[in-house]
Amino acid sequence: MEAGQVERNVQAFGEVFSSIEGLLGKFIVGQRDTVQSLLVGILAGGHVLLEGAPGLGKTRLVKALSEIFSLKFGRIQCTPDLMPVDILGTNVLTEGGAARFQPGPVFVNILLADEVNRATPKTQSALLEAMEERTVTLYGQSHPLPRPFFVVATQNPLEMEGTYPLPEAQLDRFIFKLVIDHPPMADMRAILDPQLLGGGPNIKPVPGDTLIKMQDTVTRMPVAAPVRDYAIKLYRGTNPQFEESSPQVKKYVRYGASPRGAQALVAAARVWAMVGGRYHVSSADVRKTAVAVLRHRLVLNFEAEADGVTSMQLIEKILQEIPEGPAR
Amino acid sequence: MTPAEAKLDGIVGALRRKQLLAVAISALVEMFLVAACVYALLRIGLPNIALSKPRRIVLAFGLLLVFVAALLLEHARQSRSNLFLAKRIDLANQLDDHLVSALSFATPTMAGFERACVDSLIMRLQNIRIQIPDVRLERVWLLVPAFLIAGATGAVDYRRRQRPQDDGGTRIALSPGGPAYKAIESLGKTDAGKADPAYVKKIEEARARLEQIVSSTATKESVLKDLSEVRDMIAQQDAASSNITEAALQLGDPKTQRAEHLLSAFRSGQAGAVAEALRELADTLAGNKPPPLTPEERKEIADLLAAVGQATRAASLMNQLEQVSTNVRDPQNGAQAARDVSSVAAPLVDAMTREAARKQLSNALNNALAVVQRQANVEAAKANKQAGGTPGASTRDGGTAVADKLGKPTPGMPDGEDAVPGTETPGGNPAPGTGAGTAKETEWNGGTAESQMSADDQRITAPWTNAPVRTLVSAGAAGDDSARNALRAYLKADKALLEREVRREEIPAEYAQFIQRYFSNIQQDWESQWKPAK
Repeated sequence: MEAGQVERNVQAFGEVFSSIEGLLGKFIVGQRDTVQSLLVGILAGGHVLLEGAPGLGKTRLVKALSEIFSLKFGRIQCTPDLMPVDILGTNVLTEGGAARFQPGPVFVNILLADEVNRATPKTQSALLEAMEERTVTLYGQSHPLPRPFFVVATQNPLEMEGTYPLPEAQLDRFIFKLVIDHPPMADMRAILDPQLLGGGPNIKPVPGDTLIKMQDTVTRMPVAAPVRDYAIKLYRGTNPQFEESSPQVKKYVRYGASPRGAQALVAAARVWAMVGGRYHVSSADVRKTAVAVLRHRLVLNFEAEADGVTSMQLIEKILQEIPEGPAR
Repeated sequence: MTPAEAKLDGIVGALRRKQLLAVAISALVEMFLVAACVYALLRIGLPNIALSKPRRIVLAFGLLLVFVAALLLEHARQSRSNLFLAKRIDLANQLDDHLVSALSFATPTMAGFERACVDSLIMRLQNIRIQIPDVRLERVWLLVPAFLIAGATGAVDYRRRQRPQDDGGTRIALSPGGPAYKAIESLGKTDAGKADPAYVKKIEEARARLEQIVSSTATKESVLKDLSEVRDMIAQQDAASSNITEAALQLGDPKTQRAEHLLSAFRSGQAGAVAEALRELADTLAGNKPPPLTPEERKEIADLLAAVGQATRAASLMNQLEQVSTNVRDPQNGAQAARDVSSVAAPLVDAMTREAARKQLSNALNNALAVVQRQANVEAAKANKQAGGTPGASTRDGGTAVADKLGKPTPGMPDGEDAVPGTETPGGNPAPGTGAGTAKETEWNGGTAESQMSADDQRITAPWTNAPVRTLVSAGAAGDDSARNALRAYLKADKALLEREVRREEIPAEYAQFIQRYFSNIQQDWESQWKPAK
C-alpha cells in the first residue's frame, strides 16, 4: 500500500469512526467512553464483555451497532438450561434421511450473549470456543462463522445466586471488559426524552463491508519495537512470577494477564492510533487501553479481597511504575 | 542512508553528543576522586615514599589509565540505544512516540504506514523546534568527597610542615628557597648530569630526599646517610673522569705525560726513579740548553710544575677523602664529617677534574651537607640549652662551638688547600695552575677551623717536601755531582727565567715570587745537607 493510500485510509477511518460514534450517540445517551471502547474493541477484532446493572442500555447499544453497520444480529438470553446446541446449531434429518446442519444463533455477525454468566459452564465453553476459533465444529464437521463475527456478552454483577462466573481462561477471550455505570443527571434528562422512549431514530447505515475494511486497515498498522516492548512490560508487570512486577502485584495477584492480553493491548492501541489520525502507535495508546484490556485478566488472591484491593487499583499502580520506552 | 534517516539520526545524534560529554565529565570526576585518594595516601599514609621522576611518571601513567578505564566504564554504563534517546526526545517534545516509531520504521525499503509515519514526522519537524533534553551528570556528587579528601590532606600536610612531630630523631627543616635546596635542584641541569643516566637517577633521589627534608619528614641521620651516598657516587664519577682526563692528556700532551710519569713514580714510592727523572729534566732544560730559554721551554717548565703540583696535591687529598668517607658514614660523627667534606671534597673534585659541572655538583652537595649539619647543630644546641647544659659544650654533633665554626668564616685565613705544598705560603698565595679560589665559591670553606687547617697543611706538604726532594738531595749529598749540578742549573735557569719574565711582565708577579721562594727554600735545604764533593 502506498503512503498516499495509507493517508487516505487513515483519514477515512477517523471520519467513519466519528460518524459511527455520532450515530451511536443517537441511540445511547452519554456513555461516551463505553461507546468508544466498544467500537475500538470491535475494530480491533475482539469480543467485548459488558458489565453493568440491568437497564443501562447494554442490549440497546449492541443492537444499535448492528443497525449502523448493517450487520446480521443475533441474541441469546443465557439461562441455566441453555444448551450448546441452542447456540451452535444441530444436524437435522431431512425428508430424504440425510443430515442437514441447522445453524444456531451464533451464525450471525454480531452476537449478543445476554447475561452470559447465567449459562452453564458447558454452554459457556461452547460459545467461547466459537468466539476464539470463529468456527463451529459439530459432529466432526467445521462450519465457519461469517465475517465479521464478534460477540458482545453482558453480565449482571447483581443477583449472583444461580450464576456461573466465567472462568479466567474464558474471560481472557474478551478483548475488553467494559463496565457501564449509571448515567449522570444531565444524561438522565435526555434519556427520559419522549422521543427517545418512542423507539430508535431513523439512521442511514454505513456499508456492510466497512467494518471489515476498517479491521484490515488496523491490522496493517506497524508498531515500533519500543511500543511493543512497553506492552510486553505491562503484561509482565501484571504477572507476579516476573521480576518486572511490583511488590503489590506479587502480593495480591494470583494470575496476571496472558500473552493474548499483550496482543489485545497492541491491537486496541492500533485502533486508537488510527482514531487519532496517526500512522504510528504510541505508548499513550497502549496506556489508554490498559484498563479495559487488563481489568478482567487480573485474578486477585484472597489477600487482595481481604485488603479491599481491586484490579483497577493495581493496574493504575502498574501504569505508574512501569516506564515507557526501551530499557537502554 | 535515506535523507529521512539522516535527519532522524541527526536529531538523535545531538542527544548522543550530549551523552558522550556527560560520560567524559563523569570519568573525570571519578579520576579526580582517585587522584585525591592517591594524594592523601602519599602525603599522609605513606609519607616516606620518595617520588622520583620515574615514579612520578608511573603515577601519572596510572592516573591516565584510571581515566581511560573510567571513561570506558562510564561509556558502557551510560551507553544508550538510538531508540532510547529518541524516546527521551519524544518525551521532552511531547511527540507521542512519533520519533521512536519513525526511527524504527526508517529503512530503505519502507512503504505504506512506515513511510507515512516518517513523512508526517518530517512535516511535523518543520513546524516545531526540537528541544534536545539535558543529560543528567552521573556521580557528580563524587566531587564532594574528592574535594574533602584533597582539602583535608592539604590541611594536614600544611600543619605537618608548620609543626613537625617529635619522634625522637633530630628533624631537619630546610627552606624550599634556600641555597642548599636550589643547589640540589640545579644538579640535574648540568651537561655532565644529563649525560649519565645513573647520575640522573642519583640526582633525582637526592632531590626527593631534600623534598622530604623540606617537609620535615626525615631525620638528620637518614638525610646524612643518603647525601653521603650521593657524595660517594659523585666522587667515584669524579675519579673515573679524572682517569679519563689523565689518559687523554697523556695521549695528547707529551709534557703532561712526563709529569704524570713523575707522579706515578712518586705514588709508587720509586724515589730513585723520581730523582732520575728530575735529573733528566734538569739536564734537558738547563744543561743541554744554556739560558736564555725559549718561550716554549719556559712554558713547558711552568706547565710541568703546575701538573706535578696539582696531581700531587690530588693524591694527598684522596687519602683524606677516605678518612672523610669513614666519618660521614658514622651518624655520631656528623659534624666532623661535614667539616671534613668542607675541607676536602671541593678541592678534591676541583683537582681531579677540570669540568665546571663537577665543581658545581660538588659544591651543591656540600652546600646541602653543610646546611643540614648546621641545622642539626642548631637543633642540638637548642636541645642542650633546654636540657640545662652549657652552651658550646660537647654534644653528639659537636655542639654549638662546631656550629659556630662551620657558620663563620675565619678572617685572614689563607686558602690552605690551595697553597702549594712544600712552601710556607705566607699570605696564602695561590698555587699556579691549581684551582685557586675554589674554596671561595663554597660558603662552607671559609669556616674551616684553624686547628684543622694546620693538620691538613702537614699532611699535604709532607710528601712534596720530603720524599722526592730529599731523594734528590740525598743523591747530591751522597756526592753525586751530576745531581747537584743538574739541580743547581735547574734552579739557576729558572731564576733567570723568572727574572726576565717578570721584567717583560710575561708572568704575574705573585707567580714569580712564589716560584722564587719555592726554589730558594729547596736550594737552602739542599745546600745544608750536601757534603763537600769528594
